[in-house]
Amino acid sequence: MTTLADLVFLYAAYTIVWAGVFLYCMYLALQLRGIEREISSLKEAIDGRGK
Amino acid sequence: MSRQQSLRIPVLAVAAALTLVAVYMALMFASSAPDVDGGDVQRIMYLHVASAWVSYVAFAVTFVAGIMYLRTRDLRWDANALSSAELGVLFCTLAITTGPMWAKAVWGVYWRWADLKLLMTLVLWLVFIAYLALRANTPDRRMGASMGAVFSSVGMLCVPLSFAANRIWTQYHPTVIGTSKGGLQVSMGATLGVAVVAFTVLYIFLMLARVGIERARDELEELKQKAGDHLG
Amino acid sequence: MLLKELRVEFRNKQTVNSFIILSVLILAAFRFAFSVVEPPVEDIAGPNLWMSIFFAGMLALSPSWKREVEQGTRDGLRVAPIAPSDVYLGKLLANLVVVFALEAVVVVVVVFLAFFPGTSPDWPALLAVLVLGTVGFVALGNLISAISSNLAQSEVMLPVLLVPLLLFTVVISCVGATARVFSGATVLEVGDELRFLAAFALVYIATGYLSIEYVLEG
Repeated sequence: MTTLADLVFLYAAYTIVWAGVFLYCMYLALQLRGIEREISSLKEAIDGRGK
Repeated sequence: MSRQQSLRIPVLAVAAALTLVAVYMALMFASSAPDVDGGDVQRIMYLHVASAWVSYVAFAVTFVAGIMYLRTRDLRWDANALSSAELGVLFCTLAITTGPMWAKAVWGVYWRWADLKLLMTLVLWLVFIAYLALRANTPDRRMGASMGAVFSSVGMLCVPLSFAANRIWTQYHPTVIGTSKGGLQVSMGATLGVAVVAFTVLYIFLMLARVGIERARDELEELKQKAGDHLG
Repeated sequence: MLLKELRVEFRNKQTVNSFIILSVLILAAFRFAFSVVEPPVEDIAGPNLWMSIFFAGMLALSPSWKREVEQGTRDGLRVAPIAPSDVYLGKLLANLVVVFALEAVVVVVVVFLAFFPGTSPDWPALLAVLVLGTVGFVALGNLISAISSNLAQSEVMLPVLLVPLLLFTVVISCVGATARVFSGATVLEVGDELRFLAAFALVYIATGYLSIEYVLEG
């Protein structure tokens, strides 16, 4: 018999999994953006000095 | 755009599609007749098994990539090892979180020390969390790569040893093994298969993304060197 | 190589004494902590014994490689005509001496408090478990100590890396076997655990011997 408490588990489990994956993707995206920002600013600095 | 980067969007698309299909199948298609243990809650199984499976694959990749790094000293292997370890911990955490939820519904208990599969997953989780701590505490890239590779090999060795030890232990502490259902019904088996494939493709996408970040970091390091030469 | 290591350890005779004191104090700490819930002494004797050995032992393991890093003798070792594997074995034996020393004291204390003046545990069984368990623990710990000496926060990284590897292998086997010996088991009855511990020790001595050069070279 599926009790209400059990169904809470079901929703919780699915939520946790998808939230987990989604949050990790956001974390990766943020990291990447930070690094790319640094890269472009460094590139500008080098080009600026070079010219 | 490197080959990896151009692969990302298609892989993500496939992953998203498969995932939607898997979720639909898990929630709607797969049977959960009253005779199935736990009723609808049992549907957690699809997520749980798929996550656990992917985490085992990820840890195996870290192990192999570590050894390949030690042999070739090519840092690209190490990028794979580190990325896979991070993903492995992610999916393993998901598996360990959803596992007890499923277990409570089906077996009535949250955890069973006598269960070897539970044990192996827990050991792997702990070992690879330690691996991430190791990598976080090694500022030098090459040192981190070799130490990580040695540690992941030592850790993987530990898994069969943990099995053996636990088997001995449970001989003296036999616990009543909860009755688990026999075979899976066809719809459940199919759903499980789809779920596993979906999660694997998702893992591939995340690997591409994560390794891309390592690559970007390396590019940044190179630029910093160049900047140092130019501006210094 | 071994003699050099032993000499270095004994030069720090003070530290060996400190570890012995530490292990007894850890034992006392656990005993006090448990006394609040008042479990039977025989039940907690085994676990307390091994907690003391493991934690004091882990602290005893970290200096042996860190010392090389700090004193800059690391590069000297690399260049010297000594195989890295021999360095591993040398340090292994030196560490074993230290850990056995602290174990001897703790075991006597535990057995005395848990058993005297009544019965006594089966000594061959107890010694077998102690020796085999310790050799495996120190073999693996020696390698992990070498790894952690290359890391930042090496003192805390040693337990972080070592404990997950020990938990479901050495800890379960040693504590389980000791608990059974304290309840009267003989050598044959703990044969399974002993065989496992022997296998574990052999596996990790071999692993340490073979992989130490990667750890030292970096």
